[in-house]
Amino acid sequence: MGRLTPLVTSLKTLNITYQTPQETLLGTPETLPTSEPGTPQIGYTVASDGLPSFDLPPYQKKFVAVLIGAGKFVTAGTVYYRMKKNGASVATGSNSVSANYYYTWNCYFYDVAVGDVLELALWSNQTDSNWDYKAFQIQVSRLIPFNKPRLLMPCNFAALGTQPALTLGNPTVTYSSLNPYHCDLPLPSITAANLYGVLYPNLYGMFRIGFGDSSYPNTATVLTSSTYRPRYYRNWVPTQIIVRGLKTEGQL
Amino acid sequence: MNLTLDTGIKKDLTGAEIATLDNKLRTRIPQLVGWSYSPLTGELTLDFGEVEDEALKQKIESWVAKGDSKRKLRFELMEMVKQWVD
Repeated sequence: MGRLTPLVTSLKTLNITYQTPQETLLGTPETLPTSEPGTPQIGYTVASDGLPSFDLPPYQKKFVAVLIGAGKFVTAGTVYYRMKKNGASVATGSNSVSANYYYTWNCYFYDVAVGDVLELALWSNQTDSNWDYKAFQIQVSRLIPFNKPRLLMPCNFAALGTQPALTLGNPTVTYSSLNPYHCDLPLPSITAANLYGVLYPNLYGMFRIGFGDSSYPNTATVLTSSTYRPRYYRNWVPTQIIVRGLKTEGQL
Repeated sequence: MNLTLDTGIKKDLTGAEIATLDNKLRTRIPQLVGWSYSPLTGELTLDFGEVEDEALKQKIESWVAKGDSKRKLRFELMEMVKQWVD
């Protein structure tokens, strides 16, 4: 039977900074075509200066791109979408929109990297529907601060925020809580700072963000409103995590 | 209320195929608000919106809860998808 030899790191503070979302409200709405456009109306390229930044480089991280497209239907109809990553289809679908309602597609691309081209094509079965709003932001999920030691004692989600924070158009928000994990098992979701005595991040890291990882990875969901555009989801995300690593003989 | 089914088909749909599938789904399930299909996973997610109709709610919940009913629904959808793929 082996003897455990703890090796404890100093208490380390990891600060995460999220970049301001790219956001555009067209002065003149563009009419949606009645068949799929050859070139998607909305497109962004993942750039290094658009990624969340870390003051301590983490061992593992997965980037999630949030892409939002919105517009309005005059006549009730159906809006179709296709998400593309580097020219390949990621997800397709449709949604009903009532007359004189705004629609907002909330699209999530899981596991993106610098240079990826992410696009959203929109079309409609009505001739008097349009789009006029787009936004883009990169978030981070499945973070692991160190490989060895992996065991964290403690793991303090010291500060949380919500992202993306959109301002143009007439926005309204629904929030999605943060999902911490221990040994790939989900802990109760949180919307405020929380201290865990022990946490072992594995495949799912210390946490998964709500929209884009826990829900709707590489797909989209639509929200409609008679008043608000964009009507979108904001994730609770950590902005500061304070941890100490503890290494033991064996694997932890 | 959403219902996700694994179609087992990972196919990149054309715009025309999306229109055909949309028409077939909405004809067969008039209460459908929206749907999404992933060619990466083959998953088809049916979105029934905020279901207030108690009968529909119970019907969807029974599809989700009862394996046999879910398989039956999957079979019916697969027949539609097959028609469209063929």
